[in-house]
Amino acid sequence: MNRVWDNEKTGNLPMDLRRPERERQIRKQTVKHAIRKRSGLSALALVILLSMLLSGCGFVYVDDSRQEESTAQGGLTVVEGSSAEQNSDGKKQDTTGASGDNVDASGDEAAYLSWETFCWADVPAFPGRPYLYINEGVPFFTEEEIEDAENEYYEYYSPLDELGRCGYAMASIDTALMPTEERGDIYWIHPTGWQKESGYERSHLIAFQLCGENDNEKNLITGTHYLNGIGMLPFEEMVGDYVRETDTRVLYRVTPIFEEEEMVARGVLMEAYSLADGGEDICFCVFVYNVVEPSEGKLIDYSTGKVYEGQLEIDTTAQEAVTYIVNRNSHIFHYPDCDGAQSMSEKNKIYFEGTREEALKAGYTPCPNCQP
Amino acid sequence: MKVIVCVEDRGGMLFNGRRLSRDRLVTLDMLVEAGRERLTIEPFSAKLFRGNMTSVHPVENLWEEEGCRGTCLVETSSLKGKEDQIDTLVIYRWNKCYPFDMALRIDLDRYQLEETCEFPGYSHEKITKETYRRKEA
Repeated sequence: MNRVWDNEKTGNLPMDLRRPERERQIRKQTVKHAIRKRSGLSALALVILLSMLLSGCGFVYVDDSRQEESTAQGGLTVVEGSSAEQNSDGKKQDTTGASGDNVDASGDEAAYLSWETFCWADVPAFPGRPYLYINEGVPFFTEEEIEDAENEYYEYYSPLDELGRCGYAMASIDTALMPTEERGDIYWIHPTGWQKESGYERSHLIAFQLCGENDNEKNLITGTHYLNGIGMLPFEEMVGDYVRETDTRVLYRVTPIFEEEEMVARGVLMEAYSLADGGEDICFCVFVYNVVEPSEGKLIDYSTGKVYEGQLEIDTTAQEAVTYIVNRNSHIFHYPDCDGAQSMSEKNKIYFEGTREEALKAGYTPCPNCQP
Repeated sequence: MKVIVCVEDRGGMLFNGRRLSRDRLVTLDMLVEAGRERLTIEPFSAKLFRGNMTSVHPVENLWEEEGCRGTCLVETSSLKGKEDQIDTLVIYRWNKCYPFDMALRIDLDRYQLEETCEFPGYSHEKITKETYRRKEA
C-alpha cells in the first residue's frame, strides 16, 4: 500500500532536524557508531587533533552530545586529520590533488560524513561538470531505512520550512508509484527564489517519472536546466529504467542543499540504492550543482534567485581522472581549463580519460590554443 | 571475434562500477547474435543471463587467447587497442543519457557501419542496434 509521510508538526525546524523523532534516533545511533569507530585512534592522532582545534583551523570534532547543536548551525563537519581545507567562502577544497570524488581524501575520513549533517561547506568547489561523487558514491541510508523500503513502497516529502523552502524528498520507488498519465502543467507553482524570465526550470526533487508527483510544492525547487536537465535527469532515467525493467524497488532520496537562508538551493544530494540486490545494480551518492551552464557566462544570486552576467569559477583540481575534454562535433580535445573546453556546451562534451597518445589514436585533434 | 557493447548517448558504458541499463529484449538479441555458439561474457555479466546460463560462457579475461573467440559481450573492459582482434562490433544504443564514468573507447574510423536497426525494448522506448565491420587494412 502506498504510504505518504507528512509530518507537518516539524515544519518550522531547520532542514536537518525536520524528521520524525524515531528516524532521528536511528541517525544518532549511526553517527554514534561512526564516532565510536574513531575511538581506536592513536594518541598521536589525538594530539594532532587537539593542536588543530587550538590553532583554530576550522575543523571541529564533536562527540554525540554536541551533534545537534552543531547541526542546527548547519556547519558541522566531523573531519579529523584530513588534508582538506576550507577557504574563506567556507568551501572545502581537496588539497590532496588525488580526487574530487569526496570531500575527504580517504575512505576512513568518509565515514564521518553523514546525511544528517551534510551541508554546503561539505561540497567541493564546482568542478566544471554537473555532479561529483559524495561519500565515495555510497548513499547514507541506514539499515532501518533500507528495511522499511523493502517492506513497503512509499513516498515522503518534507514540509516546507519557515522560509517556504523544500526539505528532502524520499521514496521507495516502485512501479506502482510511477505515473500512468501524462504530466500536467505546473506553471502556477513558484518555488523559493523563482524569477520570471531567468531561464529557471521547476525542478522536481523526485522526478515525475519516478513517483507521479507533479504539482506538489514540497517536491519542486528552482533549478537551472544544467541542474534539472543535464545533471539530475540522467540519474532519474537510470533509476526509472531499472525499476521498469526489473519490477523491483529502489530506495531514493533527494536533498536540496541551501546555504543558510538563501532561497535557491546550491544543488541537490541524490542517493539511490537498489533493494533487491543490495545495491549491486543501483548505488550512488552524488551532489548535482545548481548553476547556469558555464558556457552561458551567468551567475546566480542564491539569496534572491536573480541571474546576472559573470563567469563561474571552475576548480580544475576536482576533475577526477578526466584528462581531456573532447568536442563531440569537432573532435578537438582540450585541457579541462582551456577556454575552448570551458565555453563548450555540456551536451557537446566528452570526458576523455587517457593519455595524449590515446586521444590521438582515438582520432581526436589537439586544440591549437592549449596544445594538450 | 564479434564484440557486443551497450552505450548511452555519449558513449558511456559504466557508472560507479555498474552497468548503466539493461533490457531483457536486448539481452535476448545478444544471444541471437551469438547464433549457435555460446555467448562469451565477463563474470560481471552473468546476472543478465540468469535462467539462461547454458547459453553463455563466462571467462575471467576476454582478451586472453582462451577467452577471445566467438561472440563476446563486453561491459567492463576497454576496447582501446583491441581493434585488431575485433572483426565485428555490435553497438546497442539505449537512446538515453545516463551518468557514466567509463565510456566506449575504440577507433570507429577503422570500422564500416554495415547495418542499423531500431526496435522497442521491454523497458526502453527505442533501442538502436548498429553493426560495424572492420575495414580491410
